[in-house]
Amino acid sequence: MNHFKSELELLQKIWSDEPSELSVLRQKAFNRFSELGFPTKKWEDWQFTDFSPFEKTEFRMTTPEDVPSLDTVTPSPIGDAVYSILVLNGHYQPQLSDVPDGVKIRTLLDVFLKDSSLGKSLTDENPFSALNTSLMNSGLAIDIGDRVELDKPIHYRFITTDVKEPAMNHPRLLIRLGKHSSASIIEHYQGVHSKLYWNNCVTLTELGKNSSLTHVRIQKDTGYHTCNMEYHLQEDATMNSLHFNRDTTLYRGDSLVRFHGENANANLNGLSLLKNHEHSDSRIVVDHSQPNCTSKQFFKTILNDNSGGVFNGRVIVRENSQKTDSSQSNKNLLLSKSASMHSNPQLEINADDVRCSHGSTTGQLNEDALYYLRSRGIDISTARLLMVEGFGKEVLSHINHESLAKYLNENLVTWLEGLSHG
Amino acid sequence: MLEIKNLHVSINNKKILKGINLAINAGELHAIMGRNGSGKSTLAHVIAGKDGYEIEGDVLFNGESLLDKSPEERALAGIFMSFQYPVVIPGVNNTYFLKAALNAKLKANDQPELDAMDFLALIKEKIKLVEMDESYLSRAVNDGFSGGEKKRNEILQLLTLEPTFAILDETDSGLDIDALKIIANGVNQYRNSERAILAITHYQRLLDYMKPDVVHAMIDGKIVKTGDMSLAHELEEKGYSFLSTKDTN
Repeated sequence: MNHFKSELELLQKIWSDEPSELSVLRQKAFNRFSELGFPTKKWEDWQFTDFSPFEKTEFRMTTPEDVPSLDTVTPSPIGDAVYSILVLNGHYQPQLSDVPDGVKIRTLLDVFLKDSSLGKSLTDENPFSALNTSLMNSGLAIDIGDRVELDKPIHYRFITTDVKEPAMNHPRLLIRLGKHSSASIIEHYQGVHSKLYWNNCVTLTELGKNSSLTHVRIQKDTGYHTCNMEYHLQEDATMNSLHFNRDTTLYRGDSLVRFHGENANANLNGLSLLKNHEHSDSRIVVDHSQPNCTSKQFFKTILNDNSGGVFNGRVIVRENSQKTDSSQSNKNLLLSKSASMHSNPQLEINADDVRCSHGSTTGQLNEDALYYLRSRGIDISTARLLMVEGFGKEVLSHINHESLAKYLNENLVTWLEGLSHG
Repeated sequence: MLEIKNLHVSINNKKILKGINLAINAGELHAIMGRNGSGKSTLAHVIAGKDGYEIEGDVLFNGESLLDKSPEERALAGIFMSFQYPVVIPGVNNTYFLKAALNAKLKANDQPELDAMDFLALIKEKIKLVEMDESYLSRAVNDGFSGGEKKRNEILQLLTLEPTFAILDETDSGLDIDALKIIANGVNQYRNSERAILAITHYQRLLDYMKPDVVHAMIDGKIVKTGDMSLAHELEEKGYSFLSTKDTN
């Protein structure tokens, strides 16, 4: 804790010209973080993950000196059919970014100067979001106006490369979609080396009335990654999200969906690929506090080696949220005997005229299916590959953007081909 | 082509097959009839290579023992089984699966593999033979298929992979008369003097359309009588009890 305190003091020294409200906010958030501390095994919603590495490692904040030579930036792996927003080791690179009409990109400080409420962390019980509020050093707001229809996805790339270890960033991303607008946003974290680093993110997404957002979060940080995601939907809004996760040593993600009007729809999909000693912990809360809204959760994990996964999903249907239609499905595939998965889908229903379902399965490859494929002449390793790929592809099949779908499918296939068998 | 020699099979020490002897030559269609639990499906799976059985005796295919071979080695050698319960494989595209299977066979025979275009042209011809809608090609293997569609999908595979020996395990079960005719028609298209078929069934219905050369009656893990189509009629008429022998356990 003392270590984080001195990082905050350092930050406040470097940014001594920050508005005093922000300084106060940082201090308050830090006090909250200090009270909470890092989660322990006694915290119910955190019990299956060991958070001690965050405490043991003396992570340091990145500084402008950490920005690498821009020559090192590789072209977008998703190709040109996107508007690219680039952040390098926590530092926004406007000269390498391409902002479409109808969209405003501002740094968080600019946003804060106009509307200080935006800097607040909305979840008070999560030490990681409190720490993010306290130390946020990399903030961007993507504002999409009313009645804007983007022809291409916005590709927000957050690259961590060649950084002196152990570094940390506390990025905050605000996505605001105006009324009757539609957009796709790819939030992409990419680690280019295997050094120890940590990105502790907060992403707040607001969907205006009758807007439609596709939010694809590609999480390929090779270090530690924690994130808090909130989705706020006004009436008639539709949100489709995909959380794709691979290569991360230690991951904890919290997602919260809130409805602020009727007839809104939230579809959340996720695919986590885990190998070696990687660990991934996803917690999803969908809070139905309005009638006539729908939510769907479809999350899958593929685990190899000694990896571990946690899925903790909760749907709350509050009183008067009649005609809620909610489903929750978590399926996990264990490719190794030493991998482990904790899956805990939960429903809390306080209204009577609702349709809610939930289900969870964790198991190994279906032996009958494997035999069936082999009986057609397909060798055992190809048969396994086909089945595992098929298991993962089900989640990716909703992606319409061609080069993005190709990128994600290739990521699945290359991950599978790189697995150790034993 | 296929020769089964004094085959005894147990699962968890429970005897299922108790000394099967059978020889099937090229060009022949043999039918095995028997009640549920008589061991018919176990025989089919032992030939196809499912594991989990304790086996004595031998199964020879073109003079070579199959028993040490994996299911895929048997398939590549020319053996095919139409499953009684075809397996649903979510996420695996039916066309992609069939192409992988055919190309595995072509590769094993040192023949050039088919690319996606050529394969699609081929499969669109084959699918007409089983009167299936082309939309089944873009779905996951057997996923959401009705019982009849699953069986047609098995025969589609048979016609595409063109094995030399085909086992039809209860391919007629759960089919209405129209579907049955389509299945029988598909099997008859497959049939020629260089291929052989072992059809396993409860009923003579399918056999009426396929005209077997030899009919075997199986009771309690043994072939108790062998004859021609008239045996099938007799079994249908009188039931299996007229053949029952004393239990040898």
